[in-house]
Amino acid sequence: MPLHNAGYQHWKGEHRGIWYRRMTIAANGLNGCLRNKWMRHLVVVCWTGALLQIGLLFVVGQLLVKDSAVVRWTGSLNSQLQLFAGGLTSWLEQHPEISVRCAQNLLFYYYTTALLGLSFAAIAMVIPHLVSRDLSSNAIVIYSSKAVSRLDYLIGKCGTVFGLLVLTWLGPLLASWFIGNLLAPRWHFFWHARVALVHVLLFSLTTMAILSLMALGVSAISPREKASVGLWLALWLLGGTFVNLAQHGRPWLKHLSLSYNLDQLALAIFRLGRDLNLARDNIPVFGSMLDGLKSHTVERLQHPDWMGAAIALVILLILAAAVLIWRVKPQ
Amino acid sequence: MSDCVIQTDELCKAYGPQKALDRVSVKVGPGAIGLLGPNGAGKTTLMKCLLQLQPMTSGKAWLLGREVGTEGREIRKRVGFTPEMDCHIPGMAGCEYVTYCAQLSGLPFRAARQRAHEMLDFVGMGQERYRRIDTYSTGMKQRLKLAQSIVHDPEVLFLDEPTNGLDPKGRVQILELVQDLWKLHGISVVLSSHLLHDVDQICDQVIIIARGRLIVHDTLSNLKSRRRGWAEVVLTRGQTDLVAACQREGWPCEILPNGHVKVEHHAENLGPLLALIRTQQLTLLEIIPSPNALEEFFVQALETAHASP
Amino acid sequence: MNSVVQARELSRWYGMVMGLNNVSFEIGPGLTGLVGPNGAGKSTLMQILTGQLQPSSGSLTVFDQVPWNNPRLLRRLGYCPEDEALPGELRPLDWLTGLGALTGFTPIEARKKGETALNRVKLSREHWSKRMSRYSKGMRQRVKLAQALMHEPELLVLDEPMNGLDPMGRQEMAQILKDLAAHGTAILISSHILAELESLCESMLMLNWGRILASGRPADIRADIKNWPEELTVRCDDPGKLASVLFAAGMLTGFDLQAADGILNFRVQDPLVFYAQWLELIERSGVQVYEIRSLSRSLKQIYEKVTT
Repeated sequence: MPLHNAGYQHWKGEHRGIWYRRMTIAANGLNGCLRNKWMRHLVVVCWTGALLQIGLLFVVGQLLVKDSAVVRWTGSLNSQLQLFAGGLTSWLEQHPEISVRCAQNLLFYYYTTALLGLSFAAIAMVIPHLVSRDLSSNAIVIYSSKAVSRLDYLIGKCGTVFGLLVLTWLGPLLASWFIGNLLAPRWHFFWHARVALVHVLLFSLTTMAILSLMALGVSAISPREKASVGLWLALWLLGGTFVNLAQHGRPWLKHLSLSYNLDQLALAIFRLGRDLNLARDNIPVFGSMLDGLKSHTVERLQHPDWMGAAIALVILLILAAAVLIWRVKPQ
Repeated sequence: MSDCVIQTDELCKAYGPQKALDRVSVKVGPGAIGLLGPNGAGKTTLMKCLLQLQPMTSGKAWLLGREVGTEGREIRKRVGFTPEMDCHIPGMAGCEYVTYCAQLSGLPFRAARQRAHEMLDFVGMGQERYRRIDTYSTGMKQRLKLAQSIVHDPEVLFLDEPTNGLDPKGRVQILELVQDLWKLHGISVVLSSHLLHDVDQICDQVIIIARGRLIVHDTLSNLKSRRRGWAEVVLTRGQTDLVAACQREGWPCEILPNGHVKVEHHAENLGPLLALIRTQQLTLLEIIPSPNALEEFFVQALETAHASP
Repeated sequence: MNSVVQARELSRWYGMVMGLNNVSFEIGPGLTGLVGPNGAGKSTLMQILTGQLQPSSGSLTVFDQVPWNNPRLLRRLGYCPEDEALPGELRPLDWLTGLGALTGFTPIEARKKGETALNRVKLSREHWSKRMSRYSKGMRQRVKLAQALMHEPELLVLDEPMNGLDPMGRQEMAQILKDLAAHGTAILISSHILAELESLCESMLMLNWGRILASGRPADIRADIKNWPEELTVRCDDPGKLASVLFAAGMLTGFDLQAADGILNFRVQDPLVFYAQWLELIERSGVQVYEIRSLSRSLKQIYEKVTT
């Protein structure tokens, strides 16, 4: 056929399902976020943190077995210290269900909550991309005229934030757990560190869901980019002020801080209090040193205010959902 | 019902006490349909209800044989929409945007990308497609809107003032594209516009909605044939002579503001009128049958709508 | 003809970007249409006319005065821009009263003039109590026009005045403008809808790429275009027969036949000779004619020829 048809042609293929379209929205959003070079730098920083964590896990792992390099090093300082260290480490090696578990749980608690701050920053960078810019350019009309509903749009956008948080938070966490335990001196570290893994997954998945919805809600309040970023930063950073104010009489004010609520949730999930008791009651010598910890720290660890935190978070989520239903409409 | 593109049954939409659509029932077959009506009369609301951009208060609607209330999302795999206002999804180049829109309608990525470029060719966009949409001029944005509305090969396309903001050349091009979509490719087109010339040129059916009610739904040729027996005559000079001669024949006529003479000659063809002009020795430039039929019909239809309660 | 606006070698540059390039024309009383593609320089021209910009070189005078920095002249002008920016939180009469006060009327006078203007543009009273943020596009357009008319200007400059109006609104607006022109106001209308301009305006101004391409009455512009033979299209029952009759009479320079639709497009050598014999030739051919249209007289065709 000499002359080919370069005009309009019909398409008779198979349509993809609704989850494909939702994933398309999520992927498109994520691509948009990663176009920002500062975002890419932040992702690199998060994964560098994973490297640090792996190093820390390695060092701590070494501390929990006898005949390790650390014990030999203490010998070079003081032979009595070496005796003491040797005795302690051999006890620790014989009870990995306490030593490995408590150590990794503690390490991952701090690492998780530290990275969370970076994730807040990551969301602050991309929050205009979520819903604000779509509101200002009337994109919701285009979305609504396609084969997606409002709910699909929101699910897709949630997916964007989820994907972002996997890149900056969950990914480094899981990688550091896996590689850290791979480099551990004994294989049974994997088994005993499972508790830490479960806690990490539970806390991070819950928080990711909460943060996704919150980010979408804040993003939908205003079509102006600066306003969205400002609101998110206020939500994140002003929390500290509320916690301070709460010291002076109204303890419930603390729950206005998102970071505080999430921290309480972390404490409740990671159960540091239980670990503290386990360590104190079982580890010789070392355990009694823990008695020296300040009482209010112990109190904080033993009884996190997770009920209040949960209620506050649920209220915030309901508000976010309400904002989304109200604002995300075709014009 | 399967050969109906749009069907509604007692469709109502109320904004508080105000009735935007009042029990509209219509059955529309495939074709190029002009959707007309005064401002605030409900024609935009009808389109929005069919596309589920606004919820219906009561009544039912079917698009392409399937009910909008229950299957709306899946129907829109086969429906395209070109909105009037300036809207696009920010942060992408033109070709990425059209590909994304295709994927949102259910096309897999490779097919979407291929069709996006084909459609951008069809609407006449060149290398601009690789630039970000924020840098586009009005004409390019209109073409982009058209491309995104046809990329998933819809069976029916809704266009809301597609020539808004375009210069005369751009208007001609977009209207030709829309005309080709129906005439050459069989895609039904619903054109909502205030420019009756455009509707006259492209559409073969007309729907008029006023005060929330359906006033007229008919083919354009039927509407025009109701105005048969009228002609608009363009002369170089001597309009008054013609008027006098026509009045002697008993034909009502008047001189229009643009200098043309409108004559009601009652005949089936122009023979008698041409003969009259010849006897008056006038120079005939143009003669147009049933002139401005759509415009006059529109005004008349609205007057009857206003008269009835 | 006493001209209202005179431009002599008017240029306006924005650095290297050209707005208007050495443009000279005159606008007289009555309705004048301003046409050109987007970016042709129409907005630049209107901004210079209404005193918002100064020319880079050359001159533009309105009523023999320069509009720049000339409040007394600007009081004789009315301008209705294309964009929709109206203060949403005000009611129309309040806004018009405020503007009237700025022009120099007392508040009572301004309010009265505002009411007259709103009545003239046919904005119904029931809408006067609403805030303008709740207005539809058509209503906003009417208020903008009222603002331009209020102080009874002698020159009215309108940018897409029918934008957003439904067909009846367009007819009403056209009638308002014709009445104003009949009472002596000079009106300059910029629009992309050539069919409307054609029925409204006696003379045209065509711009492209910042240069002026044509000015004057459409018929005069058409007569000035060389190498454009008179072209007609006829719908009849036997186009072939009509073509052969025309050919035998030596009229044709070329023709296109669409026998299936009954359409004959043809070009003639000498329009004067042709039109003198045209009706006789139709009768001689015995063909039933349904429609005769010119393809070389309408504004749309002239514009296409001029801007290519």
